[in-house]
Amino acid sequence: MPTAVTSEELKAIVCEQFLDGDMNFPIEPETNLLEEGICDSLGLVRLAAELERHVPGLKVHDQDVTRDNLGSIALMAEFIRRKTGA
Amino acid sequence: MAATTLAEKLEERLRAEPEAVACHLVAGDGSATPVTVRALIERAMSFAAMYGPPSDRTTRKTVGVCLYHGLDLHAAFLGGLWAGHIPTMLAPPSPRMEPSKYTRSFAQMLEHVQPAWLVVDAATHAKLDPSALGGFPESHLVVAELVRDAHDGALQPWHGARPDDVALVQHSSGTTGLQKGMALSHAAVLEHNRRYAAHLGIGRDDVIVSWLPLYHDMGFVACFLLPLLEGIPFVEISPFDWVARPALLLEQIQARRGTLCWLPNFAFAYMAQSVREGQLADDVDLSSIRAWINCSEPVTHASMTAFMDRFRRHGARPEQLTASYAMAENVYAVTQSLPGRYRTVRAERGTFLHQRRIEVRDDPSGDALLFVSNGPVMHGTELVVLDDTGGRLPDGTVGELALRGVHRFSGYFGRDDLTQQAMTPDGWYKTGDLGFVWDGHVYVTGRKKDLIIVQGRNFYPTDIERIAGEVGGVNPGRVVAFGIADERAGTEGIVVLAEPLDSYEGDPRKLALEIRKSVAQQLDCTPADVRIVQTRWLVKSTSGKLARNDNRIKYLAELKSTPAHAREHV
Repeated sequence: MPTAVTSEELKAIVCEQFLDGDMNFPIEPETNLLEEGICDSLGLVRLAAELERHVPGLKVHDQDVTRDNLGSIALMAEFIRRKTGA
Repeated sequence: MAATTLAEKLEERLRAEPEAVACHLVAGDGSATPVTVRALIERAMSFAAMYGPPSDRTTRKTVGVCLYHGLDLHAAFLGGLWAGHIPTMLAPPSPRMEPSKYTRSFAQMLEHVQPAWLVVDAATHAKLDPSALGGFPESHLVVAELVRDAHDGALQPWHGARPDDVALVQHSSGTTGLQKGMALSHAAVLEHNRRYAAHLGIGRDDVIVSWLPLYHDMGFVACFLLPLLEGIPFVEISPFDWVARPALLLEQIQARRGTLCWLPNFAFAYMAQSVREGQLADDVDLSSIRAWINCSEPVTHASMTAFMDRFRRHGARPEQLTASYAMAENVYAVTQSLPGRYRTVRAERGTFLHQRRIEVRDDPSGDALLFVSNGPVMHGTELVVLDDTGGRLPDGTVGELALRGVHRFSGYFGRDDLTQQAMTPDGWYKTGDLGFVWDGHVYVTGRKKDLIIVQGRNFYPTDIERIAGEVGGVNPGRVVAFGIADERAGTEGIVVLAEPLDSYEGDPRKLALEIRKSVAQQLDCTPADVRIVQTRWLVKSTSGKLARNDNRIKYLAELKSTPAHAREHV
């Protein structure tokens, strides 16, 4: 059964991957991770692998790895909802 | 008579095998377009006709080529050679820059490089504001798509060059780096290619597969100029497409039976981590590869091992692993290890850190340091290890690597002062890299200069410090930037430490975010860590300058080790 992922959990993944685990970092759901210098294009690909690991039932295809799908926490949440129906 | 200039070498190949496939240009979907030698050089002639020849050797001009992956990237550059001018590949600005900074980045590039022509694509041209390009004549801003095929394939190359004339200039990335273009003569490039091909046994049965950008020496020399001039087919993938889908490189190796693949160290780690299960078909076979060549960054055993572990079942084998120490100042390769001879040395940690020498440890269980060999020095190049006074050091002792040889660069283009600074009185070029020689192999351990290399791209701390210092709320003279090893990513990470102005009362983390954003937009790189530190936290040297290495040590001791959940503004 697909499971919903909270914004807080997605923030934790982002902070773990790119910000040395600093959960106090001022990222809002809408913060643009690429433009704000938090993650680069290589980071998006790594993020896709992390999301697959954390979100049961999620399959991220190559063409899904875009800034429109993964460029912010809000976009990620929406992407996961679309892909898993959760 | 053997060719003595690059244009003659191109002409020779055009005569010998016009219908041979020079390269395959791969699109993001994996479809490949073969380009014949004739098609490539005829397109280059179109650019050459547009540039026009110089009236003599003293009026040759610089041609800046600032294009993304594609036929015109090659043709605009080769057209410069064909016409007798001095072409240089320049990194196109990041599409993520906002338009005003995008134009400013171009203006800086033009100021440093001062080309007579700058070739861009139509999309880039549309984003530029020509009036903000510092007086660069708009008519010399060439839109590649508008260069018409205005010839009959019969345009002759300019034959006025001499072998020792500067053939081309290579620039490193980073805005300050643009001030130091490496001028390479025809003779140096031809000699390098001949010797490197002989050293690694590169022959016409080889196929080179690459995603590397051509504004960097590894992609430019090893994966473009060398194969093109020596008649070896190459397969070229856009760096953007590879980053988005790293499996593309492996699929192309299988599709074209690739034999040689140059990669910076981070790429080994990145592919091991990012090519997910199911993304690469089970039958993708990498056994055609003779050598994976790790170059441009410090080579780590961890990245090589991760790559092998991930792709062993696809035919990757340890005997394919090799490494090279290379730099544009030597055209490209200085050393190269050979397939089947991957070598490491395990050194006692304390002796290395405190006495700067190697004491070999055979026991793999201790906390010894592991160094990967970059291989023996190529014939025609000599390498020595120097102490701080310029004296020679014995094998196994760490010092600055210096070199001389038959295909060294002519000097920094138009900067005799910098060329002189880089040379010892007896003619050795001081590389700024630290390392040692052991049992005939060269090991690179670090850098004397402050350059930061992230994913194979060079960044100068001064550029980063200037950008961070321009952010409102930051005390401009109180910023330092340096690199730290990012073992997971197999590359260096940029750290920026900044003190706020006394009058700043905002949230330090938001200020850190502003610095991140500014660095990302202006240099197209993402810092690993940005911290706002208390006033007078940063260490100054006795001369009153902010000491990068001292601050790096303080950061590692006091900040990096702080558990993230307990971290507060320091």
